[in-house]
Amino acid sequence: MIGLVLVASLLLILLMFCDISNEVPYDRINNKLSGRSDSWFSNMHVHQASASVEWLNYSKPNIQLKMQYPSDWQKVENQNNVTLSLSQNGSLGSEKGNVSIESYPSGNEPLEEHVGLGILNYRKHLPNFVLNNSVTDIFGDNTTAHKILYSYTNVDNHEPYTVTEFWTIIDGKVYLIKYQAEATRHYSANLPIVEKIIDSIHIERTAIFNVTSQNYPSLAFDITHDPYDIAVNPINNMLYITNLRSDKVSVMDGATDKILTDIKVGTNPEGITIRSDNNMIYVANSF
Amino acid sequence: MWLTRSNTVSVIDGSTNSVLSNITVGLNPADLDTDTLEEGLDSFVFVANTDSNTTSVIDTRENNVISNITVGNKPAH
Repeated sequence: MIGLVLVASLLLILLMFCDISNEVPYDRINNKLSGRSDSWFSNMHVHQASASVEWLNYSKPNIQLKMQYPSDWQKVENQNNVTLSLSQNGSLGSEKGNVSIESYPSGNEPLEEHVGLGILNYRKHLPNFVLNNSVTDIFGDNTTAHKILYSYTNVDNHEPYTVTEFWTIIDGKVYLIKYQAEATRHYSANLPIVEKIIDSIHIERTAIFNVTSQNYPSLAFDITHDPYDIAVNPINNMLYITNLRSDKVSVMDGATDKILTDIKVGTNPEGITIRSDNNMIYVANSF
Repeated sequence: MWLTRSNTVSVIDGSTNSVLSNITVGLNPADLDTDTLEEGLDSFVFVANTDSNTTSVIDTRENNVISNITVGNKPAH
């Protein structure tokens, strides 16, 4: 009796298996899915076609850059940078928005020093400069970067501008990706297309330098404190950074790039120097 | 602004990461530098006091100012 039940259930299972494999073959499932996605994509295609914009491939080998951009944007290339501007009727209007990518050697200085100097520079030279945000983010193919968002008044047309910048170091080179546009009419309007451009950016990494780029995974401290100057003790690999706006000196372990502690000093610490013989650090409390 | 202008150099002990002392120097010390051991000089730190047109010389063995040298206008680095 038990044997009969076993044989019967075995047959049933076999039948079910044959049934399923006959009923819904793999390629038919595949056809169904691809048929559905075809219709989705064809809808999108119609939408894109109406704008008559195609995406162009672009590469700039000397800075290891590959990316895509829409054909209605204009490209201006220089030795170490490229700027893409949204053109209208053939004329370039800076207020409509442009995306620029530039690269220069990092000189073994940490990312926060480059970003900090950049911000100091903007504060000095851009009228009504306001730093709105400063965070760690990603762009392109999962590249970690420091992102800052700021606004200023353009000296040529007296219009308010909004800027987003991504800063990262890859293979000993600083990469600065910048989107700027007139703040009220153009910045948000162009953001969706700009996000697509920035997400298409791919920076080729050279294998031999991979370890170096991993040394700067992200910013470990608050850039809004205006890091100003840096001193290194080569004996124990400790870095001391003055933070102009927080009246503190950050102590960074050069082996891990982690901030160990912040030391309260006088007001607006600027210059810093170290005597590695007795491990004493001197901080100029400026104004 | 003028009245609250700072005029100190903080000395941090790198082994404890704490401030050992604050040395009074000239007005608005913007930057400072030290002689390197290779140069074979004594243990001095030189401070550019931007708003008093002087350079303070700190003896790092005693951590006090041994001299204020009058220099040109607005020394910064």
